[in-house]
Amino acid sequence: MQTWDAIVVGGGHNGLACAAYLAKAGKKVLVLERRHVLGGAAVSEEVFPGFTYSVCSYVVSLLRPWIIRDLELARFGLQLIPLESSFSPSREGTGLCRWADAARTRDEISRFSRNDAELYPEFGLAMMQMARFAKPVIDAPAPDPSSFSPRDLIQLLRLGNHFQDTDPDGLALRLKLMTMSSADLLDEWFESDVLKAPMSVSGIIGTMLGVRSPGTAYVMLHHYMGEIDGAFRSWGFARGGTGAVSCAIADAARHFGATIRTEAPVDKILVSGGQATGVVLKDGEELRAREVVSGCDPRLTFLGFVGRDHLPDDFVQQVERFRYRGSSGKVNLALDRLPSFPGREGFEHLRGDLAVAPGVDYLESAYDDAKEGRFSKHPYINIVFPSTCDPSVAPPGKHVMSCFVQYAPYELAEELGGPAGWPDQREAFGDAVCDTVEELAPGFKDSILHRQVLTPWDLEQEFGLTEGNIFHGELSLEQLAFLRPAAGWSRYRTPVKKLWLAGSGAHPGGGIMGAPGALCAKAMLGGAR
Amino acid sequence: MADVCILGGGVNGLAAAATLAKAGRRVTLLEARGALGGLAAGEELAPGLSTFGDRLDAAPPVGLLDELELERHGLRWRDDVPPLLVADGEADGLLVHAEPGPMWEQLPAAEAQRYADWRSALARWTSPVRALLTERPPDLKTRAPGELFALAKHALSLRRLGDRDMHELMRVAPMAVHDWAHEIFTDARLRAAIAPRALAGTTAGPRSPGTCASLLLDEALRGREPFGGGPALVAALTACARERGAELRTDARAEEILLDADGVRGVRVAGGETVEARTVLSTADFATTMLALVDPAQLPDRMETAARVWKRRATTAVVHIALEAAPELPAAGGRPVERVSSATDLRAMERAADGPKHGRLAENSWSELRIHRPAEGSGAVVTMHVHGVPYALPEGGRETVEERALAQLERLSPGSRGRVAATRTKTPADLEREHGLAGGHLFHGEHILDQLWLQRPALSCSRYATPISGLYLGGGSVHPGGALPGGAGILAARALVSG
Repeated sequence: MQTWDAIVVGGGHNGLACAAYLAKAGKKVLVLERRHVLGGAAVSEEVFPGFTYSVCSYVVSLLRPWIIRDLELARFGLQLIPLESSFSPSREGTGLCRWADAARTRDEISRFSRNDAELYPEFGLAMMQMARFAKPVIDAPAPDPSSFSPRDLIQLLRLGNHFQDTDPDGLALRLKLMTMSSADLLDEWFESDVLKAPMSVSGIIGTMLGVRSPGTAYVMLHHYMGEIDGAFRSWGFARGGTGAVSCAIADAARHFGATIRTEAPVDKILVSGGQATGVVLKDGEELRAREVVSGCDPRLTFLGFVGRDHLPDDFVQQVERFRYRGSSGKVNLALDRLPSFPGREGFEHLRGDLAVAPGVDYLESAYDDAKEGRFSKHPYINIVFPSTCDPSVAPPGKHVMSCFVQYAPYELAEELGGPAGWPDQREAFGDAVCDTVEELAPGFKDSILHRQVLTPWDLEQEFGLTEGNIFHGELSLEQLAFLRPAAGWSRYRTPVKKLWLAGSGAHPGGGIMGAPGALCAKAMLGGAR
Repeated sequence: MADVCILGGGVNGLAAAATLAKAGRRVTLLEARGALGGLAAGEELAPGLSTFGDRLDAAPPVGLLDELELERHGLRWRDDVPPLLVADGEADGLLVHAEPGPMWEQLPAAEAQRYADWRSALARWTSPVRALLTERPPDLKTRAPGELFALAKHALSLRRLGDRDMHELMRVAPMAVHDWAHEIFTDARLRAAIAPRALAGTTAGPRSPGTCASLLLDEALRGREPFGGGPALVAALTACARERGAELRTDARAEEILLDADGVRGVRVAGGETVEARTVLSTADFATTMLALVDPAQLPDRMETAARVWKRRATTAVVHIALEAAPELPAAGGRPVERVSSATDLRAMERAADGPKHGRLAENSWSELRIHRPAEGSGAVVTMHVHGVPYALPEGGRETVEERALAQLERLSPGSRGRVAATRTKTPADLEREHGLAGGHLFHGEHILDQLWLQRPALSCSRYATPISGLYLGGGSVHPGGALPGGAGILAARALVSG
């Protein structure tokens, strides 16, 4: 039997990135994907004839530039189209649209508050400075403050030194960012709800938290890391959908010599003598490898593929309590025409993203529904129309509309049947989303040709995302950095020798970032250090 | 001319006065009201029935008041911690003791064991943390070898906890108490029992991250309570401060902290008098100190913003109820009870928090009760903190809150309504009027992750000195916050003495 240098379980973008780096270093690598398409949650599929959806994740923001360079992704077809605006409609009036053009944005904001219009660029600047501080943190493994190893100590000292070199205002803002809620932080700067609401939501994406929950300001910062080059530059669509990112990485991996198999569902990761030795597929086929990498989330990896018998008890305990609590769903639509929002002519404002976030209180109420185990009647919806920029995803004149919807709590209330009650709620959930948009854009519902609704339950069933969490585990303070996914195991290693974790459940977490996969490969190639 | 003028004669002000007087400073303390004690002052509701103040307890931070030797002034400390009854009716109560022993009779063995393990983990974690938290918060920007050495010492003592405990402490601190309680306990009442201290003084519900930080802070610092509650503490502190020569003035409302080019020069008192002093220690809350007591034109850069955004959204009303006879609490099974929490699951607390979050009175409140009897065989005074009550109330809000409190007490102790001798209800707006608390916030600002320790009330003021030369903060708006009376006053006084 052939023995691979490494087998990667899961052909999502992180697993593929890991495989590409390993192959590039000369390793014989095999990637195994359960589904018929590659990409995991970064996937494009022609769900209805002629209409290609970015089924799950829908914008590219944090994909690390060094990965694009290392893997020469442009050469393998990756094209990013920047988002040009961010529009938040309101029931009364014309809403607020922020543009790539700063002067235009200032004019829009000053209709609501001159003060806010003046502070807006200042805030962006402050956040970008903070992002510069956070960037090295997401581009390297997380230091462990309890460790006495020189590597960790040096990293920590550098961090401490950084604190001392910062001016007092910057230091204060840094501490606030680590501890505040996104809404509270914005309250300190701005007065107009119509501006604060769409800004605050970037702090809650993928978490079971509200915009007034402490700790969400840090997640909001992640949003700004994607904007390093200026306003909206590096937030964008991938031509052909987010699956194109995965395909480019897969092509790079193949180019470097990796083998990729689809429709090859893994049943078990083989462990012998405390060491991973290969995998067994669902059909019984056994494959041997010197090292095994999982791109799946920690619960699926350890409790599903490895099994608790092979793991220390306290590690199992940590894996079990790692919180997922998926809180979002996805509604993908095929449209006969673009929706029209009162007071906004043309479609220029639809070439970016559109946030249904008319007020901070609206968002917090949406969260209140979720706390009670119901999907939000009036949810936060982040909408994009990729077909406005990328004609390849819809027939001429038609459009695709991607709606990211929060909150859709995985854990439905008991009276709704718990998580397994989702299939019965699916259409009602889809209706709530369409009705909410209809209120803002009358006539919108008549333009719908096809509708695909993905609840957190579906995300778990179809994509293997535990509890439907899009980030392989909540991005909350206690699940980040050296605690992701478990204390002492944040450097991609696991208690099983020769088994590695390369998915978003490892540092630095979720989003189409590629960092966990690439950093995992680097740790593996770094060898016995 | 005084060396130091202290604003506010609550527990913090008095503790600071005693500390500074002992260090040889000439101290003048100004209290706006006719009596000393602030929130810890008692008031008579009915003949022989006086409150222990508007707080639920008067437990200063462990060790910090020792140097005042209040025992010499007649104060006696309790060695016991009164257990907390978690109940919302006559049955199904859980009497939660700090010591795990009595829990074995009330809970299944596995749950009692988990509780015991949890208590011992807290005890392990809190001892290294305590040393750090009973000092002035560190200066992150220091290059001074002494300060760096002290920081390193604290870091080392944390590391001595071992990997496992240290990881766990760092993991738990930013968590939501709801999540932690669910990780450990299965009994809904026990989960709810650990939450009140995590939620004290915050708009957050149990699902809000960072509520565990408040809980850990409280566990690490909470010291013993005095017999006689707040009023006894106030009396002893007053005697101590006076004995050491501090001048304590009542009916002296500070109107303005006067500044000149060198910083503080004195305090203008209502009526026109000026108390000259080069140093002022304000125990008023941060917002009041900076926005109401200092001329806005003279505030340093950004200080106005910092004070304006200081979060002080009230969520709690105080209801005092004097009863002709001590209430019987069937849920406690005949055992005497001093402390009660009416929230029997976390969901009730979450829902109550949702009210003020949206700026309205919660549809259902939950309450904490403190019951004390002035003498054996006498009536009793029940002090209730009714949660879910915002600052802005509709007309009749006070009556609604009082009615809720009475109904709550009636549920716990049937027949108590008929024995009510007097009531006194204070909404946040009342508390603001009576005690000068901005926003009516009992703890001088919310206890929320970004307003604790180094960030209380702002990085530039968290070491008690402010950017205004000669102005110090020593009230609940600075570490260790408003729930542990005296701590801020003592630490501020020490910071002032050490310069």
